Amino acid sequence: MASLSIDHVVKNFGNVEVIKDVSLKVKDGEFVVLVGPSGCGKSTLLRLIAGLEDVTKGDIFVGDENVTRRSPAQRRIAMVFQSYALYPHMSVRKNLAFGLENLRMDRKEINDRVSRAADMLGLEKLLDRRPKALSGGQRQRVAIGRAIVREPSMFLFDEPLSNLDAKLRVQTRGEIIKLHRQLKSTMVYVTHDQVEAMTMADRIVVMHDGIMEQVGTPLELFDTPANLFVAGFIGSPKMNFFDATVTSTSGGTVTADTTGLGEIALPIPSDSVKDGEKLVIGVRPSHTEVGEGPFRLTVEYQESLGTETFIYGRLAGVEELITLHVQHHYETDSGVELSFNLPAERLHVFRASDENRIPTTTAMQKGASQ
Amino acid sequence: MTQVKSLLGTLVGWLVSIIEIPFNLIERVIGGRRMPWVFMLPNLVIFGVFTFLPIGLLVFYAFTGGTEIVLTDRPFIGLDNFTRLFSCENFLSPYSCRESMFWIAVQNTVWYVLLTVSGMLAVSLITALVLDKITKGRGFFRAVFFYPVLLSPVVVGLVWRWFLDTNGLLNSLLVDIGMERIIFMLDVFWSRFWVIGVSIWFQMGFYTLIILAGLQAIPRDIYEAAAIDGTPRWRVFTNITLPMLMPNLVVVLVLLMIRSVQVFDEAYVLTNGGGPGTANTFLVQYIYETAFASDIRLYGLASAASVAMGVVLLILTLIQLGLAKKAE
Repeated sequence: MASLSIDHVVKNFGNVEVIKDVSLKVKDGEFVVLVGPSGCGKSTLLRLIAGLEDVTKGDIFVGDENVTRRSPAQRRIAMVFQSYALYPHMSVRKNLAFGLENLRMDRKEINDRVSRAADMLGLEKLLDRRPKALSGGQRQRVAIGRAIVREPSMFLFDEPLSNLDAKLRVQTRGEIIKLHRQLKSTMVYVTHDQVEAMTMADRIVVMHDGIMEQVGTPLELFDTPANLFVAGFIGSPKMNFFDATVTSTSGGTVTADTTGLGEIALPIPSDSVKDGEKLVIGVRPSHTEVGEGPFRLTVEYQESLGTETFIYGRLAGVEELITLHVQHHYETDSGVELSFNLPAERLHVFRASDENRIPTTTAMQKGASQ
Repeated sequence: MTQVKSLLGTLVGWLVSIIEIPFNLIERVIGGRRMPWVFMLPNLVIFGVFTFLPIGLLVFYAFTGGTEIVLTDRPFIGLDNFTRLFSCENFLSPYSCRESMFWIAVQNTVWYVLLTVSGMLAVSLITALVLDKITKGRGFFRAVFFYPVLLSPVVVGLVWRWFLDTNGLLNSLLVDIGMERIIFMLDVFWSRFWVIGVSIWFQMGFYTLIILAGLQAIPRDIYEAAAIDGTPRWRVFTNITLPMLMPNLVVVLVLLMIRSVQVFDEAYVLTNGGGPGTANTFLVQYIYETAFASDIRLYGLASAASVAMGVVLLILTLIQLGLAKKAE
């Protein structure tokens, strides 16, 4: 087991800079998830850690050892691929043993390790089958098993669940979390699915356009997103955004004229903004209160999930659809006008100029009390 | 434009309605379930006339004797032709056989097939591996290696004969660097060497292409998984590349063997009729000469040799396919 340190790493493909000066420290035994939209550079960063791509600039350390110029094998890491990358002409047993045979390990030790991994992942009965005779979930477990037998210092996962169906994905997610607790290994996991990131990670790294937008625990990212991108990316359905202009900062209260909502008070210190400054106000659907309140939404359609309901509609003068959330089944119809409230303490405020978050007074109080 | 379109539409409709009439009639007579046979008929006729009928005739000729070409004039002689081919005191010594020329050709062909197949496999595989690795100019080199395949075998034979002639290009190069002239085509070793070498040069592009397609179909992440597993290069080749390439290699092996056993035109032209002596007389040349180029035209004997060659090829192909299936 080992920690991981990425120090000012840059990666260019030709003239295109896909990783732009990224630095990250992963503690020993930590489960870190790299998340971001397609093309954000998360898989490239993982491949740089694995040694499958050469770093253009910067250093990568596993433990105290600089492994930047080391081959993948010398880094003592194991990787689980999106496509599983099992050797199709070998049995499951041979797939598990292949890497150990490369190390010229004693046959008895190889057999022991293979049986232990097979036992841990429930693969005992499948050991003599070829990958093509396995289901997607079983193949995934073999791929994980191939990583486990090597007893690596670190596990890398490249979107390992994206080829599984929804039910199996939830199940395998649970198995990987269990595995992490059991092995207590350092794990770096890449996904584009923010639900996977939120449920699995000790810490999440949100990536966008080759840079790290924010690093934090799932709740930190959810409660205090550092900028508009993170706010929009984390949370499902997506956060609602409203354009606003500061109208007053006097008397210790900031008010802003907000498109579709009118004049509202914002939970930010009055010295953090100037009169007339352009802002973006964000509020998560789950933090809206449907039923009473000063705001009106014209319903377009709704999604009833049985235990909860998402209502999509428009505010007067706002182009974008707004999402409201009700914690139970809620009957409404398109064209109906709904009243709703946005609790001031649940508002997120971002500067329109640089899209960065302005710390709210509620968050600051929370921070102070911690 | 719309007028042209509507005119075309009417024309197509008219054509369809004309074709419909006989097909409706046929369907009424033979029933809908047998209609697929009607559509397959043109192909079946072509295959029947140009493939199955000649095979049938060949087998028939093999059991008849005499020198007449018209079947009705040929007496049925049972297995006599085969007995004549296979009466041998010692199969490894052609001159102890009744039909010694046949066995010399068989021996030459066996050696030619063994050396050409192994040489061609090695050369094509190495070329494909190199082409798979390079990123720049892959298309160019692929075209360069494939180009000879487009040539006629006779042209290949003639061009190389000119190269290897006593006063040819190669000998003038040898003289330029101060060496003795070699009369390649009068030397048993050199003539055989060049027959095999030219065959490999001539056809390697085709097999390289098949192997290259196989190499490029191996997913890159399997190699990456092997790299993370710390697999040494040689082990990657023997334990991953070769097994995953096996289906393509079997195709190459089967095609290569069939074509090698059938070697004739380029070797015949290059060696000026299978020389020196009988050093490069192969099975197809024997069949050709027995049937068409000797004073007494023994069609039956030549057909028997063809049948024997076909049966051996069939058996070898089945063995290879069986092995490939087992390897999967």
